Amino acid sequence: MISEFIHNHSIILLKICSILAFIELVIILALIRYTLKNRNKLSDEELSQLEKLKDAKRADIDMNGLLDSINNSKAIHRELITKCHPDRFIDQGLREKANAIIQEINQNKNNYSVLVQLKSKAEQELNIQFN
Amino acid sequence: MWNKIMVVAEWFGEMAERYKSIRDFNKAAKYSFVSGNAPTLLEVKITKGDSNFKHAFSKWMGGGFRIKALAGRPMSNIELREIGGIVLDNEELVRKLVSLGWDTLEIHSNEGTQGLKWPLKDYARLGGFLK
Repeated sequence: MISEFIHNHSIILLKICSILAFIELVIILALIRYTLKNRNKLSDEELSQLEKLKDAKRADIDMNGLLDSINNSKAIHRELITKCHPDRFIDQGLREKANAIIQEINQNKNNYSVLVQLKSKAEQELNIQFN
Repeated sequence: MWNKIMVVAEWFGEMAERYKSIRDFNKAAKYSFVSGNAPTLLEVKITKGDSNFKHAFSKWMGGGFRIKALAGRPMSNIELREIGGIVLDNEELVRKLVSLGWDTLEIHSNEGTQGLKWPLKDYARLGGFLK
């Protein structure tokens, strides 16, 4: 009597489990289909931008350089702009060089390390003496 | 299942990278202040950010990257704008911040009520992908 009861109920339990497993399978397949469909919506350009963003997570930022730029770039930029201004040079060749350097200075006005490099370049090419 | 494990591992990796970025910045700022290069001590904190600046990667209640200047006086709009400009000019840093879930850059001084904020997605130069 008891064994028959257990047998009947185990069959019912088995049926319920198999139905649940089937439902789970259907949900998983639907989710896979949904994911693949959404993935295809992204264009190649968007995918490359997404990869670029993922790479950016691991980028190593030079925080000391950033702090140097925050603290010192304004002063060095002002000094370079004053000393390398093309109007200070009478010679045509030097004036052209100064023009090129001043453009670089303005492009990198917030980057201290580049401004330091440009300072030494100005010293060499324009014969300027900095204090 | 494996995918979910990877997502969880990625989440932990991302959080570790967020805190590492903050630690690196604060360490560099302290070093710069102690060595006499910086007139003010800067400190970064995570805030909830501005909900208008949200993007696809924004972290919930943690989208604000606040740089607090311990100047001991209210800083002028120009000074705050200069610091913000230098941070936003560093494209690599902005991309890293965006990819790690920050959406708002905030600059404040420790005295006074004035502060400035910028939407990071506008400076990541990703061709409108995040909008």
